[in-house]
Amino acid sequence: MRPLSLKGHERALTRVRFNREGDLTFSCAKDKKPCVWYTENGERIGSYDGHNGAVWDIDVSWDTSKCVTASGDLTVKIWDAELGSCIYTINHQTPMKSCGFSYSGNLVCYTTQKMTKNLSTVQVRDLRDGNQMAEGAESFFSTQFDVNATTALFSQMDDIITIGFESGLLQQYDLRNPDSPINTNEVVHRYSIQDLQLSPRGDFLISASRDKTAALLDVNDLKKLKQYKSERPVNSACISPNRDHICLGGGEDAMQVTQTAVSAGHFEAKIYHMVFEEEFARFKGHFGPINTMAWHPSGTIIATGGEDGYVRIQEFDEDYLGFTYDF
Amino acid sequence: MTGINLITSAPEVNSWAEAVEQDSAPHIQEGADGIRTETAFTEVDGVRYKVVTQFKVINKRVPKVVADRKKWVKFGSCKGEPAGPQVATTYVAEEVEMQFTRNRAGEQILDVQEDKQAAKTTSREHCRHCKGNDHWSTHCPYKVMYQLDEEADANQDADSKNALGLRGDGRQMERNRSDENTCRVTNLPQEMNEDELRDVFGRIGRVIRIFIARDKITGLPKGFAFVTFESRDDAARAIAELNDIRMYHMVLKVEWTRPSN
Repeated sequence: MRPLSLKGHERALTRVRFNREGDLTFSCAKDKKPCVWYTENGERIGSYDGHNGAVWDIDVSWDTSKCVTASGDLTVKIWDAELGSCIYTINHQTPMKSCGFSYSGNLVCYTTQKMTKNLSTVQVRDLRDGNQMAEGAESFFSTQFDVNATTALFSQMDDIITIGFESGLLQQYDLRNPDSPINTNEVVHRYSIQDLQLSPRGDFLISASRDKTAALLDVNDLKKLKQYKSERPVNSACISPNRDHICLGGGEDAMQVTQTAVSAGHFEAKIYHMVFEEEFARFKGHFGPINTMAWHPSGTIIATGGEDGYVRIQEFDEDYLGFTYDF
Repeated sequence: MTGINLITSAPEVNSWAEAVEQDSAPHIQEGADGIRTETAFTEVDGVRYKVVTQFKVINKRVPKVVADRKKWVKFGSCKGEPAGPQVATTYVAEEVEMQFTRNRAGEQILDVQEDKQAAKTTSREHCRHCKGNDHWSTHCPYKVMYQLDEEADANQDADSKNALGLRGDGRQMERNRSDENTCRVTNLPQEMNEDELRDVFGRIGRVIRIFIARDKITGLPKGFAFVTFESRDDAARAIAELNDIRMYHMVLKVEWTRPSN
């Protein structure tokens, strides 16, 4: 396979995502400009200019009309996906690490970092409500935590959000009750949750952690179903939409990367069988750790974003597509 | 609707002679069967590169919303750029092979590199029984013998401790003595059992112990044994007399046991 290599960012990638049909790829990095690309030929359509700091997360609504980005410049911005113009800006006292749209695209959740006297929070706002989107307004859902919430996403329609923490804790909140979580899992991961992704059918969650594992979780009760072990910290994991496969990406910590040879750094993406929990294939590409990855809705493409500043769109060939387990 | 698919993109350095001949303006060539060749020039660190990009124009049926999105006008950093991928931001990377680490039956087919490296870095194989560096203690062929020795030592220890109150030294002596009087018999025929061996070695002197190494699982002899005599002289005589004698179809080799360190 000959991947497309996209060089639109000057710094390490923080998130790549496909829209619902998969024709567009959204990427953001620690530079100030999130980008949007055509998946098919790697053509860059535009960049969402306006942030003034690292952009940690980007998400796109189901109809690809809006994007949301969370940035280190203390803002979350909602963009018109087609025009590249900023619709709303949400300000906070601390950087925002993660953001996401709900199933309907009407709600936006985001996590804020813990800093000095500000606790880490997870907040949800309704884009339809002008009062909430006005400057200085409060969000309708907000919970505070002593540990940093690293990642949050809507795991069930517009009702339930799942949050991953720096301590390895996972929690689910119902938006109607910000006081106590409905589900908690503190045993599955020992170190920071780097990434949480929902399976395309919405039945599983996959969590990627610095403890060198990724776990498949039941979306209803956060119970661990499977765990995939790697030799290096896992920065991102995604679930195939049409096969029983899981892809893990990671590598040695960015701080230690200069001390590691490329072969020992483990910068390959690894494909595991979902049920058997064993790795059966891997592919190389990046010169640094993979920070983020996404599986295309067709199941034949994986986009990866690396610490090296490249996005790679790899379309699988027959080798992979024809591979099935005999059992 | 029309989609543009990138086939190849090969940057090539222009020689100055070529550069003079060719016009340096970017141009587009429409070839037969939908192949479009675009020539562009980029400058990297003062060196001019000519970039030839071949596109294949294909028609594809896609959902209406996707077709609509193909008409998006470029914005932000891409404002004003012409249609199609730009060489500055998009290129086709080198061929990447999917490496399969397991076959269809789920068996490991590719040795995963880092496991080996991890093993190498942690520690080298070392056997605490025979002090060899080519295997671990658990895989030591002499393991059973050494374990028996240790047990015997422990028993003797208990006795000598009561009598002498010197645990460490007493133990050391016992160990050395039994090692001293032991000869190693190799090239041992499989058919030979302990009684036969005792018969042969018993002619030399009083044999304290005979140990034939056997495979843990199959129980078959591994082809070597240890014979411990009561005195060192007997052991020396056994080595002198029984070395190179014929036993079944094999020629026995009798020698001192390798010193334990």
